[in-house]
Amino acid sequence: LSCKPVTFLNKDGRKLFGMIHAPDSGKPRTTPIILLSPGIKSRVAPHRLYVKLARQRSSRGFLVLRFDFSGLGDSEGTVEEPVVADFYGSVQTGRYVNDTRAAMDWMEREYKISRFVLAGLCGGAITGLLTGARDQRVDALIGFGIPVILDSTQLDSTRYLTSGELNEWRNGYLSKLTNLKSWIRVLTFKTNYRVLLEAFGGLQRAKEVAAAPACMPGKTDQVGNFNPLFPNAFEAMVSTRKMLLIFSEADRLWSICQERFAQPFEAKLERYRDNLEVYLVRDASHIFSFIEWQHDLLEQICSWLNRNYEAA
Amino acid sequence: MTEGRTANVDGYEIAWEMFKQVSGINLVEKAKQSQAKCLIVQISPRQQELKRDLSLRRAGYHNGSALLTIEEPFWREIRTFYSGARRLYQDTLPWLEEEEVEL
Repeated sequence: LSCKPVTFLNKDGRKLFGMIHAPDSGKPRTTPIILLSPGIKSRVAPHRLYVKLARQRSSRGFLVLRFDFSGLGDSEGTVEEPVVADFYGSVQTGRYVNDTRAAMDWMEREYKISRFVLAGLCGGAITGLLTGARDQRVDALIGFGIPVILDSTQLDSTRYLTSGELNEWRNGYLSKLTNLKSWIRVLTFKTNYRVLLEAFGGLQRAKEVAAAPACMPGKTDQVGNFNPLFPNAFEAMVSTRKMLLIFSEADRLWSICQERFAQPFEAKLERYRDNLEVYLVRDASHIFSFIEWQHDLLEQICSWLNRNYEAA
Repeated sequence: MTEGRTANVDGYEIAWEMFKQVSGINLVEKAKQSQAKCLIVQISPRQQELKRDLSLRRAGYHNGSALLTIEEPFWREIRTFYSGARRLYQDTLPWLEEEEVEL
């Protein structure tokens, strides 16, 4: 398999660095895969997940590009946000859509290809969705651990906990009942009493959470910490193109997506059954840290691509 | 691990052999055998005394020095976005440049 470093410019003239993986022999499949970096991570992703994925896919005939977004990894540019949460928020509202389009532009020029599969974990997944909503060259999206909420220092995430998250907090508190340090935190006012009370049902849930079902396509109002761009972008993509969404069972983003989007959006989702596949990796963490979880993830992607993209 | 299984650290599999070799390194003992120049840097979020074990390690080297640089623990997931550890560069690059001149 061949793998070589590449560079291309984004809209702001910044040089972005990436790696292109090509099959050794034979004509590559007509639709390449672009892997979009997660959060503040580089094109390698946690525990080299994107390297493993790119090698596996290129061995099956796909051309795969993975690259660093501007301001991250080896790419030029700076990140001005002093706090990670605000940086995440900017990614969740499309910070890297133009960089992704620049990657497609570059591949179009280099390989004369005009349809792409975008794939990514977390921030990479939401970037792929927002890009697909604006750019018809995106043929499909494979998103793992896609966030439906916004991170920001302006938003107190503990105000918008889902019942799944509250359950996790409750279990966490219960497991620390005999821990002296935990009791000291409670007695010295360092504990978040709102969360503590909510976790044990002693406080009514925030009104914003109850209002979450109002977030439907066509509405772009900010409700709680729900990403107002998500429903419209989701519908724009899934109404005409294929999507595979993979979640990790132990990841809070799974319960958040279910409670804040999938359940209130259930009737609508039913319409897009032919285009949407959702798969849950049992017990897995957000970054798929155990090998068996990675195997499951890679197998699902492989099987989905085989069903949707025939060999050249 | 001793039975041949691996321990998973953030997605990386650590085997017993690797664990054994890494944990078997005694930096203080190694220092005594070494003639190498060495700069030991303690990274701390605030001004404080150099940790005792680091002072011991420095003393173990024939040509050792140590300093404290003020940075947040950027190798962990922290609240702050860390694009670069500027003070760490500022504190360590002059030492490297100085040593290079002498070499």
